[in-house]
Amino acid sequence: MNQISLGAFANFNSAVPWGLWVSIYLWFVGASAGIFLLVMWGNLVNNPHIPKLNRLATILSLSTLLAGLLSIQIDLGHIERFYKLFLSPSPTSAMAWMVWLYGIYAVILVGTLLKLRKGLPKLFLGLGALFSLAVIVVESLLFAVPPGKQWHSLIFCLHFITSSLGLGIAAIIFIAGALGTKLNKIELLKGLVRISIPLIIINLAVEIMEAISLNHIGHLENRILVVMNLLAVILLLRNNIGVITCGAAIGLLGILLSKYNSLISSQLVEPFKGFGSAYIEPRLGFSYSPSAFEIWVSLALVVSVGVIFYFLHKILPLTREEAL
Amino acid sequence: MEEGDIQNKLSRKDFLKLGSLTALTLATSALPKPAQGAVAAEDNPKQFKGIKYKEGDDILLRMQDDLFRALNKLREERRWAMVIDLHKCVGCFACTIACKSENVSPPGVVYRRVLDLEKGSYPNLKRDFVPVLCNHCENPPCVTACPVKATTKRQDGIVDMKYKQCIGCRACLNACPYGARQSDFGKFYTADSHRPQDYELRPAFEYKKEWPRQKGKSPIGNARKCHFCIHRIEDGLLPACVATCVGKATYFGDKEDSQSLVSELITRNKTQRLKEELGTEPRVYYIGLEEVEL
Repeated sequence: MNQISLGAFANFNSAVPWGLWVSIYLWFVGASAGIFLLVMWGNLVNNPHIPKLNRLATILSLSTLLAGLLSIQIDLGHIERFYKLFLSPSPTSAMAWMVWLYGIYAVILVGTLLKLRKGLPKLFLGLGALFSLAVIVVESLLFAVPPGKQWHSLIFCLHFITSSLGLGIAAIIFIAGALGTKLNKIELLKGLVRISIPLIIINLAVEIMEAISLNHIGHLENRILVVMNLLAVILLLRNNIGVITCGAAIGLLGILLSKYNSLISSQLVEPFKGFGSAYIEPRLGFSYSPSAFEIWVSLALVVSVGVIFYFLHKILPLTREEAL
Repeated sequence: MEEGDIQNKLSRKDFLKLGSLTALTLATSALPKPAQGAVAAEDNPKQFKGIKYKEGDDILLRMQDDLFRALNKLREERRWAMVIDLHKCVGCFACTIACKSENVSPPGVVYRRVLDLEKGSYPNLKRDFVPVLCNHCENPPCVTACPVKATTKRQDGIVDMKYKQCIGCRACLNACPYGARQSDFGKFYTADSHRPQDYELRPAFEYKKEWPRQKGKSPIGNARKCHFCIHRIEDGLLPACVATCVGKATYFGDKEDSQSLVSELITRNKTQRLKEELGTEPRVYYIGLEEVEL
């Protein structure tokens, strides 16, 4: 009763104010920026594999960005005041910067889709790479700037960059494996896997560094993350299209878990000894597990990526089938 | 005719009066404003008379006098601060309850909590009570983090909230290193009874405005925090927690006023602030914090 936002049905609280939906948002936006950064890089250096997926990858990047913005929108306490981010942004806030960056970035993504048929000029590629990197960096600053949490470190910023690149390549492999139809697909996938392995290993190394810096190295979640990363690498190195696609999917899920883990674990640290027990009431406790409602909404958000992707890929006239 | 003449004479007299008043007003408005002793009209139209108190009187009287003196200054000339003497805190939680009652805060919203810390082991056991609240930092990370300028630092040092501007992103909650902010999730203590009780539905008067608890309306869905009871202090009342403190452990006043009790306490005692190493420059000072393990 007397509840307005969807947050009223979620389990996040004042001690853990950002829960599963924010993790999903970070996952989507990280993937979007990572995919686009790799597309821009692939075209800039004339990589033999990535430019073949220019259109599919750019559509996926736009789809994940839109789903990411949807997931952060539903997380707001006053959804109807979203426009205030545009009307009265604070210049000191990383979140305000992000909103404006997303706007420019979305325009660049749409521009890329429109320009793809005629080829992308170098200047455009450079601009695209710059803005996708800016999206990742500014997003990491939202966490790294405030001094109160464990996020206040350079490793956290670095982790955002490496995880976005990991997400980007895993998503590109996944989309190529799941949607491609041509006979030479295995060659394409193998070429992409060659790019992915160092990115996944670098990301794993940064994850371990972060866990060491937070003194979380022995935690079960971190062990699971290491196992998932290694499993993804093993599967990606196989010769079967289905197995490689599964490996990419595990890589994507692993990074979602990693984002969830670093987001939640830092919020569970009490600012002072005895703070959590000083006043006991619902929505004040230093604990969090997502509610069934949060999980269902998150699944719906994942489905929304597919729906947006299908709409942009099949229905909108500005896109055409990828020549795989 | 005679009657008409009188009316004309009165009109001329009135005209002259009006003219001279207008000239006087224009002349005075052109003069530079006095820097001290003036009251910012938008801030506080009242002039507060000092209270006569003598040595040995209740410290509340002295703080009340300090408050009046501060209120008679311009807002930018005062700097509110709080001092908490941990040696005097008895852990009665009266401040917490007074605050909740004053601000009609719902379940999950508590502006002032009291840490109850045990040290040592039986029989050498010590209990410490540390009230924690918004520190109204000089460099508040919450203000930096807010994307829509819904939380700002006032000229008098209070970090306030503009409820109708807040989008409920909770960035400030995570930015605050003191855990001083909470989100209002629209809960009621008496939600499971046949209807919410009147005491929960009465409006709060935070930031000198009326805030009835209504579906979809602020402060539901907003971030909330201690505001040093702006609505009380600008009406010449001490914050609810200060007025209620049983052990007389909480002091409030203008730190810029060298005669104020808080200035005196800060000068004469070894005071500490929470998490000073973060550079946030809190405005809540503690006496005896060095004896507590936080």
